[in-house]
Order: sequence, then C-alpha cells, then structure tokens
Amino acid sequence: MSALLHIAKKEIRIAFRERLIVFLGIIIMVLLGISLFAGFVSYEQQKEIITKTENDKRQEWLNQGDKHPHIAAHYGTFAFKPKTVLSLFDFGLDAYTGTSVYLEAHNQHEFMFRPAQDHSSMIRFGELSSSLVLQVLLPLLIIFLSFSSYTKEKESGTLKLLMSQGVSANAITWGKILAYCIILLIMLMPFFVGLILIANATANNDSLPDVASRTALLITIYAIYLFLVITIAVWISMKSLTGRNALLTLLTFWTFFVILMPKTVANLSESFYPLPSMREFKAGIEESKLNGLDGQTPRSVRMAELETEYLEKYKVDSLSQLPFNFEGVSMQAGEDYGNMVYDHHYEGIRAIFSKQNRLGSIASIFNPFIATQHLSMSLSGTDLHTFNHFENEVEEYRRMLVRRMNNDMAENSKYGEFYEYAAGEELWEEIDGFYYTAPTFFFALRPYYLELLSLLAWVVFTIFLLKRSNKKLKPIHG
Amino acid sequence: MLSLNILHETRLLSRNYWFISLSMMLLALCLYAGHNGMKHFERRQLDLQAAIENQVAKEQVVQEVALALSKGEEHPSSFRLSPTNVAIATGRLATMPATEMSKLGIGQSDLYAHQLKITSREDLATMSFNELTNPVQLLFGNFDLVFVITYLVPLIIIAFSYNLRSQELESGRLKLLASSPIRTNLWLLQRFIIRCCSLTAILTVALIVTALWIGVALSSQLLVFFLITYAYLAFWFAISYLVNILGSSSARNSISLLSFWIVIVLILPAVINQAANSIYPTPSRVSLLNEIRETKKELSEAQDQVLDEYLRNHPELIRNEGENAFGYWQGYFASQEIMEKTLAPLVDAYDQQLEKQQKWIDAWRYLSPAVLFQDGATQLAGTSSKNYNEFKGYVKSFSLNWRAHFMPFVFDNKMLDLDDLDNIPEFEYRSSIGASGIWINISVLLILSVLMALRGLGLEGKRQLL
Repeated sequence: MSALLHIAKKEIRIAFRERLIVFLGIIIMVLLGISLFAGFVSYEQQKEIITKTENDKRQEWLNQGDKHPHIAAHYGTFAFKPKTVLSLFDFGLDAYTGTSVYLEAHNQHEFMFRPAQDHSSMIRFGELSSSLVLQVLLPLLIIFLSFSSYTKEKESGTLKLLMSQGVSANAITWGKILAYCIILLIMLMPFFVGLILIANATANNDSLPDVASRTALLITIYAIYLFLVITIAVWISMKSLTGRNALLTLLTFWTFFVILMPKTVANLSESFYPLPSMREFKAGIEESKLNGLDGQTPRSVRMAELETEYLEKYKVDSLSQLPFNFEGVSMQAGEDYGNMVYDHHYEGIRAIFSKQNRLGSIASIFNPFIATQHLSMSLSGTDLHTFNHFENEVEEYRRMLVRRMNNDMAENSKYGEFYEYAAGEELWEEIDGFYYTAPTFFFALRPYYLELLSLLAWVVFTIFLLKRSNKKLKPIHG
Repeated sequence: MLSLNILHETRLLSRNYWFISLSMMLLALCLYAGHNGMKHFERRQLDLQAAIENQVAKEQVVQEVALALSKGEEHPSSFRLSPTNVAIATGRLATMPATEMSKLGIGQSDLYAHQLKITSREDLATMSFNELTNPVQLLFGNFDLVFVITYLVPLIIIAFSYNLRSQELESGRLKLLASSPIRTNLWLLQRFIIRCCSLTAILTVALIVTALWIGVALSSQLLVFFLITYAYLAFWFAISYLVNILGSSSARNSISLLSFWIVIVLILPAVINQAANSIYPTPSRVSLLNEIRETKKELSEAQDQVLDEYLRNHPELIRNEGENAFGYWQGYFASQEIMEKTLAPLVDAYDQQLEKQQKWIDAWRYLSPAVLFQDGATQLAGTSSKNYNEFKGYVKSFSLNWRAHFMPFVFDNKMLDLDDLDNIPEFEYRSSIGASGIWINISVLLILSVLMALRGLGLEGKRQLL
C-alpha cells in the first residue's frame, strides 16, 4: 500500500514539474471558470427575460377584455422554453431547438427562433461550455499527462528496478492512476464546488426538478468518464514500447472517439433514416386536414356526419334546437380532428428522430464519450427528450385552452350568433398560466439506460484489462 | 541539395507505410464527405423542385381563370382573381436554389428552409426560416469536405511532419548534417515544402476525384476553393516547421502541435463566439416578440383609426364612395403596413445589434486560421451565415414590395386581369457577396505561412543539435 502511495506521490511531483502540462492545466481551469461564469450570466439574463415576459403574457391574457371565446382562442398566447440551471454547464441542444411558440386555435405552430440562426457560422465549431472542456479537452490533458507513465519507466530502466525491489505491477499501475485522479481532483474541485453552489442557490425557482440528484449524478458520470480515460491511457502506455507510440495511439483514439465517430454516427443515422422537409411535413398536415387522414373524408363530409350524429342523438330537426350551441361542438370536433392529424404526422417525425438517436445510443456502447455526452445533456435538461417533453406540455396546454374556449362557446352562446356573445375575465382566469417544469430525475434518465450500462461496462472492462496486463507486465524495454 | 532532398523524400514517402495509408484514408474521407454533400444537395433540390411545381400549379389555376374571363366567359372560381386571394392564398415562392459548390460545404444549409411562400399575411419579424432537422444532428454538424479539410487534414499534416527534425535530432544525424556545409533549417524547409507539395498533390487528386464523382463542374469558385485549401495546408505545414525547429523531442513536438490544433480549431472559435456574445449580447427574441405582440394589440384595438391614419398618409387611395366603402381587407392591409412601419425601428435595433456582433466576430476571425478557412469555404459554397442573412434580406424586402403591389388593387376593390397577373413582382435571389473577403482570408493564411517559414530560417544555428 505504501508503495502505491509513494508511486502516486512521485507521479504528482513529476507532473507538476512539466511546464507544458501545468500550462495546459491552467488553461483548462481558466476555460472552465470562464464557461461557468458566462453560462451563469446568460442563464440569469434569459431567466429574467422569460419571467418578465411570462408575467406580461399572463396579464395580457387576463386583461384582453370581453370578447367571444373563439376570438380569445385565436388571440392565444405564447409559451417560452426556460433555460435550466444546469444548462449553464451543458448547453446541449439549446442553440438548435426553438425557444418560443405561439399557441392558438386550429394550428400547432412551429417553435420559432433557434438561437443558432442568430449566430455566425462559427457556432458550428461548438460553443464554449464547461461540458465541452470536460468531455473534449480534459481527456487530451490526461493523454499528455499519462502517455509516458509506463514507457518512461521502461525506457529509463526504472521499471526493472522497481519490480526487482518487490513492488507489484498492481501497485505501480494503481499508484499512477491514483496520482492522475488526485491531480484532476485538485483541478476540478473549485469548478465543481462552484457548480454545486450555483445549482443550490437557484434550484428552488428553476424549471428543472431534482437539481441536487442531477448535479450529483452529473459529477459522478464525469468522474467515471475521466477515470476511464486515465485507465485507458495508462493501459496503452503499459502496452506501448515507446512514449511516441503510446502518444500516437492515444491521440488516434482521441481523434476517432471524440471527433470522428460522433459526427459519422450522426451523419449515418440521417442517411439511414431520412426526414421529410418542413414543406413536406406541413403540406402533409394540410392535406390530411383537407381530405382526411384516409384521403377520402373531406372536411365537409366529416362535418355533415357530426351534424347527423347530434341531430339523431338529441332527436331534433335542426341544429338551432339543440340545448347548446352546435358551433362550439363543431369547433371542438374540428380541433380534435386537427390534433389527431398533427399527432399522426408529428409522431412520424418523432419516430424518425428516435430511430436516428437510437443509433447514437447503440454507438455509445462502443464509445464512452458519446455515452457521457448523452447523459450530460439529459441531466442538464438540454437533450431532445426534455425538449420533446416541453413540446408535449405546451401542446397539452394549448389543447386545454382551446377546449375550454369551445366548451364555453357551446354552453353559453346561441347557434348562429357569433358577435352577440362575449366572455370576460372570469373565463380567462379559469385558464392557468403556462409554467414549465422539466421531467423528473428518473424520467430524464430512463431513455438513456444503454449509455449508463455502457459506462459501467467500460469501467469493468478497463479494470479487467489492467488486472490482466498487470499480471503479464514485463519490465523490459523494447 | 534540393534535388537530393527531393529524391530522398520521394524514396522515404514511397516506402512510408503511414504516408500511403494516410493518403488512402484521405481519399476515402473525401469521398464519404463528398457523398454526404451530394445527398444533401439532391434532397435540397428535390424539395425545391416539388415546392416550385406546387406553386406553379396554383398559379396556373389563377391564370386559367383570368384567361377564361378575358375571353368573356363565366368562371365559377372568379374569386381567385381578387387581390387578397392572389396576395395571400396564391402568394409567391421565394427560393434559394443550391449551387453545385454547396456539395463541398453543407454549412448552415441544414438549419434553413430554402423556399418560403410570400403572402401578405406574414409579418417580417416572425417569419420562420426553419428546416426540419434533428437537433442532435445539428449539434454534431455535417461530415462534409469543409469538415474534412478544417479538422482532419491538419491532423494528417501533424502526423507526418511532427518529427521531421526531431527524428534526425534523436538519431544524431542532425549533428552530422550540421557539420556539412549546408543550412539545416533551409534543408528542413525544403523537406517540408516537398511534403507539403506531396500532400497537396494527393489532396488535389482526392478532391478532383470527389468533385468528378459528385458532379461539381470546374469553375472559378472551385479554383478559389482549391486555393484557400492550399493556403490552409501551407499554414499547417509552416506551423509544424516552426515547432520542429523550436521543439526538442518528437513527443514534445506532437503535444505542441496538437495543442495548437486544439487552440485553433476548437478553443478559439468557441472563445470568439462566446466573447462576441458577452460584448454584444444577442438581443432576446423573447423580448422582441413581446414588444411585437404589444404593438399588434394596440393596433388591433384601434383598428378604425388605423384605416383613417393610413388614408391620411395615402390620399390617392381615398374613394368617393364614402367612409364605409372600405371593409375588412382594406383595414387589414393598412394595419399590416402600419404595423411593419411601427415595428421597423424595433426590428432594426435588433438586427443592428446582431450586425455589430457579426462584425466583431468578422474582425476577430483572423485569430484562427480554421475560422478563416471555414468562413471562405462556406461562402464559396453559398451556405455561410452571410448567404442566409442576405437571403433573409431579399425575402423581407420582397415581402414589402409584394404587399405594396397589391395595395391599390385592394383599395380599388379591383379584380386582377390577365395583364395584371403578368406584372406581378417576381422573386429572384442573386448573391452579391463578393470574393474580396475570401481573398483576404487566403492572403492572411499565406502571409502567416511565409512569416513562420522566415522565422524558422532566421533561427539557423540558434537551436540545439543534441
């Protein structure tokens, strides 16, 4: 045990003597600090704006004056996607998903304003977030730090010396791994403390529930990821004959796993499961609304069937004899049909998204970087599932609003009298404001079981690999 | 020395397993990236074609009605010739066709729709240019030729040039060389130039094969694309040359070069973007939306005054039939126009803030050669942010013209006839983004390369040989 600690102490001392390593370490710490600070500032700004606008919209809805409920349903309101507190850590898809949506009767409007459209092409190089630093840059520092961990001992002959003194290969390997873990811990401690403090301070009034468990798991996931990088780097150094070989192998792995593979998987998934264009999607919805989902039941036929159904049900001769305003019923029937059409088409799109992303999940079994990236976005509330959840909640709210307006129209107005009836603040108050709460911790993690399994499997695999290689370690060079 | 060097390097490279496999890999990467670009181009064009056909069919119906009426026949769909129907339901298609060059760089084209129906119902501030794309796909970006050259080619350059001097130094041959009457740094520069030429030749072949396969015809833009690629290659060879001279071991060289790569390709673009956001924060679309809605609300509450105010400014549209001769549509068109005018300062202020941010980014792009290359290459491909901003500008100004064109018809309550249909404004997008920015990018890359080579030569005799 003491040998292990001695080795760890020596490795730490050597690392701190390397100017380049210390320099890169400082750069990474500065970048982490900047990204956390910039993320926090942008989070605070966005939050303030969204809270203010949400309040404005609420007042606007309540004070819209007396009007016909259907006009109010068209007047509608807006819903805004709030930034989650952990999005200051991992921006995820925030730049590529819309931020605002207009809610009105008859139509599901698309989400407007993807922030990426307001940036220059440079945004496609990636945004400076803490997650980028931890996922992409820190592994490189680990590689630079540890590529020569074994090869240097081999090249200088000290490995032979160590082993002849009875130090086990296990102690050497784990001593080195412990040293790198301690170095990273020293580097990352201030950052994670900062993150915990910010998350803690803002957790109570954020749209993200379970912030504490999310932050804890986020830190654990990154600890596992960085531990994996360290063990793989030490293992490759152990297996390599020279430092140069170890470095080249590690850099090739890094390029492949971090740069090449994620992009290739995303592009392949798009080729395997192509999406229709926005135009085709909208045209499909229009067509189905016009001629029915089966293409043979136009709106007029659907409405005639509805009329007959109600006339027969209430045993009356004309719509005006019904005990309620049929226009409200027909409006709602149209709305329900429109919703069904939208669901049908949008579920098709969601299914394609899901197939595309499934390929990414499968790839994460082979690539812990992809697994970490997916889990990080999910825990930060910036992944596609959280966005879908937001879309569902918004749509549910819209439907509730329109239904309430149509029901009021059916209950309180008379058939054929549109301009004569006006509802007031009482009705508007029945509709609560829209305030979004993201899915819970477990709900957020559920779609990512493959990623979680992948990380665990990688830990077991690398420990096994090291154990096996430790047994076979030969203290000779070349 | 030069001819001996060429002979030596050619022999070395032809026997170098790494070099041959990297060249094969480069060709494979270019072909795969080209294939992706081509698929994207085809999808974009097919969709555009379908949208155009759809629009033509709609316009055809209106044309047929006008033709029938011009012959004095009756037509059940004569309402189609009303100005509101033509302006709103028929509308006009604004299109941004893909150029062949876009097969080389997908750029921002996956974010935007390339056809928009212009109707008088749209308001400019909330016009949507969204294309349906998986956000995950947008985050990872496209595997196109611009990606291969920006990210991967520098890594290939580093892989086969990081130890050109250090290898000689480590084996002791450099000492031997220095004892002969040659300048070692010049000798090294020649080796670098030869390697640069070899890689340039291989990349050129790979690009030409890809261009032929995916169908990009020879054009001045393609040649400029080649030039900017060469300038980018030269930069990476030059930086590797300088690191070789300054560095003392192969491992250290590779770490230094990779650190440069990370800084230039990953960190600087992200930092510039972040800094631009902090200095000129992207104004909130949410706030803009809120203000637009407020304005709309005020205008709709004062709908009657809107028409009066509008007519005060446009007395030529006042008819003698009396105050009540104007109905809903006149009020609607007038309020749309007044709304655009009222909102214009808001939207302009928003756009100006974005413009400031863009200008700041443009000025700082010189810090990263990767940005210089990407910026130039996507502009050549017609898929850069600049191209899309230009297209948006075209769409918005056309949209205003479109409404203005129908105003007199709406206020005259006049149906359109065959001649009127022929005189409807046509949309045409013609990019006027000049190549001057690209030439500046190329010049900066070349100047940096030459400066680094000269600095290397200037260090002759000043570096260790042991």
